[in-house]
Amino acid sequence: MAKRTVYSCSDVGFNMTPMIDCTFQLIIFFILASQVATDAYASNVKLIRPVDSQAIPIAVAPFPNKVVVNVLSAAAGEKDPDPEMAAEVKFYKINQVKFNVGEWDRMADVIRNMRTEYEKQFPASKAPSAGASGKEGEDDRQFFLEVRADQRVKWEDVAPVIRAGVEAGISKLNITALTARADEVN
Amino acid sequence: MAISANKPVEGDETVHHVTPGKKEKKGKPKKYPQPPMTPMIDVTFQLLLFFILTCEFRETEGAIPGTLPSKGIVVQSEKELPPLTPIEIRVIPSANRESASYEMTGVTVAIGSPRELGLLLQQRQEQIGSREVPVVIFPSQDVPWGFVVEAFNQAKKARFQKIGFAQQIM
Repeated sequence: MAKRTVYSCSDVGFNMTPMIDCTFQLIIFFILASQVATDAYASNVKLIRPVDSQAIPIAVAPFPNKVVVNVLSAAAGEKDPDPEMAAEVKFYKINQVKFNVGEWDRMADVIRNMRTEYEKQFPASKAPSAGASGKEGEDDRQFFLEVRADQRVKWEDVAPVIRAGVEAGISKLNITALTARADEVN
Repeated sequence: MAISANKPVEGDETVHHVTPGKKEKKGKPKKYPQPPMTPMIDVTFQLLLFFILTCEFRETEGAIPGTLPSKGIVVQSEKELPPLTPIEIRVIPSANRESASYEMTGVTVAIGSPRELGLLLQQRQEQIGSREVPVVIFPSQDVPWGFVVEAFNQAKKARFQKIGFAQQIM
């Protein structure tokens, strides 16, 4: 009869080292790839990726030289099949402040206040340069309006945002869109 | 090669002095101190779980730069046209608003796709030989914003420098 080997509990164990290695790799990936969400960029906005998109990746500026107006669709989500509902605006959002359709004067006031605050904090001579534009002679310190609207909402609901920006004395406009896919870039 | 303290090595019969505190008990293997790994692994897994549950993969956003009129809303009648005749682009949605067609000054047929519009704008820009010609986009009131951005994007791609939006004044 063959001799039976009996192992005690202390002899059996998992090799933890490869698992810990993988775990650390994953953690490093998530830490490097993640970006902390900010109030300025609302979620649930279905942005357009235009054909041959000319959108330039947004540089993270160390100073608040912009006001982002989010235009959110009334659709339940990005894949809501109801086009009528998707065309309606749920609300407009600047940071944490919400605006209903028609509150254009209030929106213009908020934009104007943000611009005034920025110009007070960073007078033209002291404003830091982000160097984001990469174009010589272009003033990237200028306070600007960024329209971040859902692609499904109607033009008539976005146009007043642009008008509010003009009324607030802003002369630079950025339209948010998805950048071109890597395979589209020439 | 590491030499175990317990194994006798041939030729090493030298008698060394060992202090009483460092004397080891015969028969028991020497234990090296190890930091406790369990709390570290616990914390690591907590972090991993947090990142897995909270992360949301999003596509890269960008911005198409433009300018706004500096002296308030520009109201312009047809009699006060600027020296350069602007190129007008009308954006017309389909009945179900899932697509849109474009109409451009000097082009008699409706343009079905943004790419086609881009090519025509490019040709027009080469014909005129100037990027200073204003491009005015006239979207219909109920056209989805995405198609307006498409027109703006194509005008940008054609290197026009003065691109504006027009809206009906009630």
